[in-house]
Amino acid sequence: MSRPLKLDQVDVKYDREEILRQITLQFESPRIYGLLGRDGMGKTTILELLASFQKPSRGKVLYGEEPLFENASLMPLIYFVYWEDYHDDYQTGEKKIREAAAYRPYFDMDYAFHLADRMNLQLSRSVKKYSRGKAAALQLLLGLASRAPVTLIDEVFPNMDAPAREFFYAELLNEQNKHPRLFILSSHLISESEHLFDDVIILHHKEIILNTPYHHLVSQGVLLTGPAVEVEAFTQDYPTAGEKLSAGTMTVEVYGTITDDFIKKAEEKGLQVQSLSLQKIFTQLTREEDKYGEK
Amino acid sequence: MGRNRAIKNMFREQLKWASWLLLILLFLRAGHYLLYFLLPDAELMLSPFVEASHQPAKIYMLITGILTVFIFLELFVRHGQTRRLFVTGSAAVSFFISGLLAAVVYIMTGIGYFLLSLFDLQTVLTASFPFEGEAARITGFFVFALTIWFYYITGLLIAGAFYRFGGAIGAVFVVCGAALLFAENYLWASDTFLTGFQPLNLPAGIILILVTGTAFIMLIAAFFILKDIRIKTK
Repeated sequence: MSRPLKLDQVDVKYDREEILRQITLQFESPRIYGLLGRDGMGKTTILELLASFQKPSRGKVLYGEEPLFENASLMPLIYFVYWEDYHDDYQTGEKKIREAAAYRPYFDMDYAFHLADRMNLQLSRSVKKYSRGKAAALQLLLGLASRAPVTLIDEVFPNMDAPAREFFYAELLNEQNKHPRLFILSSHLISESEHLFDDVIILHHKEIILNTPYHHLVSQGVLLTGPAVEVEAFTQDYPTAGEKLSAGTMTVEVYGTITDDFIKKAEEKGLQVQSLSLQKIFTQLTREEDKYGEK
Repeated sequence: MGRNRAIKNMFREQLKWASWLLLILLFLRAGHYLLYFLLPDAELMLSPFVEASHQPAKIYMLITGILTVFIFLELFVRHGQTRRLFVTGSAAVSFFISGLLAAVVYIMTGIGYFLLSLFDLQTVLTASFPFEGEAARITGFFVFALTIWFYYITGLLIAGAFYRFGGAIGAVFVVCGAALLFAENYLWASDTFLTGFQPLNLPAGIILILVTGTAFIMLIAAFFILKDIRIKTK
């Protein structure tokens, strides 16, 4: 149950276009990983590799020490939740649940029906008639109830409304508490989902630019607020970003190793110190110059 | 657990589709008989059921082969089953369905002939029974079953190529598939009268071997196309 999932020196190319370059990652279980990146950076491709939906052009995908692709005994242990268009699907919600249960060795049918009830899913209706939010809820329900040792979730929950997303986040943590396993989540809704992550991986321009525990990452920067003159003087030796000036008060993101001594000195100067959100760090790391040379 | 379930699921779906085909064929057949008796002056002649259902069964199997890729391939991989299982399972299920369809059609042809003979109406049919003689009937059964399976494998190959390579290369496979289907028709000397080609008049056994051999080659080609195909999620 706790074997690691690995990408070893993986390249992916479509025709001549390079999608991923020399990706090496190891996912440990039980943990929840946040896989972040801007649009088109290869997040879905990584999840597809881990789900055996595609084969790497070069390199290896291993579960434990065994190759994963087309491995009949390992593939059922990995569940991939991705946005499925139910537009032409006449199956009922209940049939979808029973179908998944038949294929998945650890599927919990009672839990699936319990979740469906909590999510107000009408299981007797054809999924074709489900709204996008309800379809996403059903897809996530299947992922949670699969109890697969590895569950991969790709950008499905943005289709749900805020209360449904909150319910999903709470249920995910609850599930991880009761049945610990490996979850890998890809999302653009960083600010509302960052509390889920044990580890954060950021993908940018075909490569991993960051792979670190969440708590370590958010200690890599702070938000300083205070009189502009004081803030500028205090931060002159640090990389900064996102300066905002209003009526002589400046707020700035400070990056680098933030020590207790740094925080103590800042507070002595009367500066307010706050933690940086993951979204701020992500934006800073993946910000690019536009065609006018501005970031 | 999942492997057996996947194959059973595919078999059940294909059996359902095949039942629909048989129902439609029987419905059309009933309509033909009705017209025959309602319009006695029209001098309508009916071909035996096995002959009348052969072409529809071929087209049905071609479409089933195509649909199988688009419906079941993703389903298999999504639920943790291998592409290898999909190809081998699909070939086995369709082989069985082809035999079943052929058996049902032959039984229905026999029942129809028996009922007509009760009322001395055998002359309704253009031929009393295709492939006269016991040995020829058995050959006929295999011809029916193997040719419709050949169409299924052609559909599987074409759809696999389309799924993997997209439009341009997929279109090449459509042309190649159409050429093979034409060649198959030509070997049996059926449906070629419009082209003016003369049939080769090869023995049925040789043609069966050629058709089955080609189907297996196409199945191997489909396997190589599908064995590491990317399942598209977007």
